[in-house]
Amino acid sequence: MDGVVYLDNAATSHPKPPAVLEAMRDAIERIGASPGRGGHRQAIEAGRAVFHCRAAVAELIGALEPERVAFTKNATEAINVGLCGVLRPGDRVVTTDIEHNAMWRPLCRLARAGVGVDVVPAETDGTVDPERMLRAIGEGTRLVALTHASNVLGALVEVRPIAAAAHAAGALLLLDAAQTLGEWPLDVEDLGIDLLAAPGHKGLLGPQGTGFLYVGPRVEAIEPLAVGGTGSRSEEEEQPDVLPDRLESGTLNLPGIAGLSAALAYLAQQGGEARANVRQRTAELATGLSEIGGVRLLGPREHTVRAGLVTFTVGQADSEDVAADLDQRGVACRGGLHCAPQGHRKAGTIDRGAVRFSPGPFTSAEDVATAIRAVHAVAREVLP
Amino acid sequence: MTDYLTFSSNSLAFRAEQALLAAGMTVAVVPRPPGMVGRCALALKLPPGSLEAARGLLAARHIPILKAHALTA
Repeated sequence: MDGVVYLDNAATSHPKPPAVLEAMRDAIERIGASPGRGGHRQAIEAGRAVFHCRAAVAELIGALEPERVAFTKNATEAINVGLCGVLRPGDRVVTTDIEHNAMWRPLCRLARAGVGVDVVPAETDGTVDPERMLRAIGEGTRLVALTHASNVLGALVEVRPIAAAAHAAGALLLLDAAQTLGEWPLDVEDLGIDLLAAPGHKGLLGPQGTGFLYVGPRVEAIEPLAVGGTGSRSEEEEQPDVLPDRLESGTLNLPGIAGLSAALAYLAQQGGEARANVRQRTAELATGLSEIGGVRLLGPREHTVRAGLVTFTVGQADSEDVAADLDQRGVACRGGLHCAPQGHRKAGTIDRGAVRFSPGPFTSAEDVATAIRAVHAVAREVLP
Repeated sequence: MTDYLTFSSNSLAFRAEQALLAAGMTVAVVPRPPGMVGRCALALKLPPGSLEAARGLLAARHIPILKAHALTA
């Protein structure tokens, strides 16, 4: 929308690189066919377009084989496939107490089904102490599942020691990279990530309706959430046991995947600049907000360990009211609980939520200045 | 004789296509070898006399083949 400063990139990135829309249009208008279904040239081209995106994701995350990338409709679905695919009643999973509902709700459901869930408390700024995680990981641990950065608090988790401890105990590591992939480098081989869940539409700048689950070589078996047509082994009653077909039933989102491909190509060219811009604007937002009386920032004070989001409260004001006021002043942001009540309990904001600013690659210094002025104006109104 | 390679997933077929094209081998992605119904994903049709070279190249790239088929054209 013209004249609006968009600071809700942690929900979904906007705007997208123009090539994303062009690729989606091409997928619908020219390619059209269903990938992996049928042998005519259009269907083969559709399949090839999906493969190119799969290969680009694999390249981005350092996966050895593109087949280890299974497309999903978002990170939530990817997390569900990861959790439900490897955990069985009697297994234990270690997690933290700042997880998004995408992780927390399936874990609660699994707990009711007989999976033991060990919850490690994070610090109030969202920092996760690797030592605490190490102490919680034991012989019965099948999986360690946590976010790379809370969508409320933004503190980056140190992945490597947690992955090493998980592997030493014979467990797997599932990382929710919803708030970090695209903005922070994540190499699954280097860090020891066994299952990586990510959306295509946030830091990767692709369209909504895209996401993926990476399944690493330590994952010996994974059960799909849904079974059905895969375009392969059609004569068999059982779901194929090869990836990605095992986890991809039904027609894939070709327009979305084509758009994600274009976004990844953009990031391959401009990613360094895009990441630098997000970090710079995030730091500017944090600094500007911290100078406003009555505004309290959540999350870590150190900008270098923060994902591209800044969450804050204005006095005792309800965060939804503040966000609505900011919307009227031309700033699009998110108030409330951000589908992550755990993070708000940790921060002490469960009763009124918080306002979150999340810049993107195209956010300018002027946008930040406009947003800070708007918060100043709101603070003058709502503070005694 | 025409040689075909089949794969257990379409992704592997496309990865094999990419590898063989990069090596200068003119291959074509086809639904499956003639007469074969439903037992594989997409397949590759190889240029005449290139089966062993293709096998060796894909093995070096760790791209598993489901089966090689030599069919009378």
